[in-house]
Amino acid sequence: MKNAKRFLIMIVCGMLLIPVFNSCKVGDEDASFTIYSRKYRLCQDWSFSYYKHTVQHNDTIVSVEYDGSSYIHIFGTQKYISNATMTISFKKNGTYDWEEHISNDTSVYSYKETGYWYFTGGGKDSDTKFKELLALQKTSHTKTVQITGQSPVTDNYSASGNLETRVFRLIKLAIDEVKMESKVEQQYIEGTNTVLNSEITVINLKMGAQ
Amino acid sequence: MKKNISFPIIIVITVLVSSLFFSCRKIDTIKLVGDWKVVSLSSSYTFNNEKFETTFDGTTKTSRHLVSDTMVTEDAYTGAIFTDYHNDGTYVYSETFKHNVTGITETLGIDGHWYFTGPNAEADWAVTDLLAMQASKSTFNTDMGNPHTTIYQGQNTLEIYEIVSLSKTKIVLKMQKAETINFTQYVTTMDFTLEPR
Repeated sequence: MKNAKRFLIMIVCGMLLIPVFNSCKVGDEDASFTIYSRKYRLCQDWSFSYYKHTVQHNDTIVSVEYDGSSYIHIFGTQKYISNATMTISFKKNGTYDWEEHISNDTSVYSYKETGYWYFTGGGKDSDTKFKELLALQKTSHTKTVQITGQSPVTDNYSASGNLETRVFRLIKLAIDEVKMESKVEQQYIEGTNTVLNSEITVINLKMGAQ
Repeated sequence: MKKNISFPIIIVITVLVSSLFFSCRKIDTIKLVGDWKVVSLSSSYTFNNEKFETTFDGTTKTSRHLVSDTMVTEDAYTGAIFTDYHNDGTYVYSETFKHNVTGITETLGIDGHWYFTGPNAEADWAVTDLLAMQASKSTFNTDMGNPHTTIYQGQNTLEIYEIVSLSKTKIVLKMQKAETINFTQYVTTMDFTLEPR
């Protein structure tokens, strides 16, 4: 009788935990099971191991790429390579800090962005699950460009309130690796004229700020 | 021998507590889903000494442009604004207004997805305090020329609204933001109330 009760409790607990186990795999490359929550896995200091940002306007494409140490600007057939570090920290209180430091023989560029992060997503028609989307709401940035022999040029942005928010799809959220991407295609049609714009950001993160 | 039942109890409590968060979203989804009309709206956009403001009482919309508090233009329109939130996570926004003087009719239709955002302790938002709207198609048309259609695919940016109140009979949404770009401040405010159609 005692064993039967214990068995019953285990079955009930197991049934109650089924939704928890199912919720482990949210992104396409997520593990089937993990004991860590999505918030716990995200909230760490990360280094970028790969970053690519591509902006397209009709046939014109401009992109930047970072492989973990080199930052490459590509304009048409021209390539400019710089040394760089890129980091991002997600805090448990719901804030994030994004930093870039890019330098070459003639210039130094630094960028610092802060903001709030949210999990979102879900809805039968949206083809995403809840917490599969990561929303980044920028509240400030400071960009500084220092060209040798010239005064530094600074660009400042600060904001508060219900700000428009970038959103990334979390393909993999593991304790030691994050893969996420944001692809936005915009097709503007007026009569017979069509303008195509797209912006693609691919980010891979590895543990530990540099 | 004393039975050690603390482990299953902890598991059950954890599961029940986590299911409460899902329930909050489900309950608020039930309240949000439906066909709504905007019965009042006021919005403003200001920068430097310029101000653009709009008011709507459910029938009449008035748009004003002011410079240093002096009216530059004022236009009045008659029409309606509808927003339908669907259970599958999509929404349809539509507005139709006829200019009271020129007689030109303008229509704006937006299709997209809606989401509740997760909680954020630092920003002081709970799990269903914010409504995120992500447009996937926007069409603006007048009876004077070609329609302008914009189709978005992928992870388009989210418009974020604060849910001031949410019930089956009334929704009040608010958006307030202030952005300072190199010493110039841009302030946007929007408050609107929806009731079932």
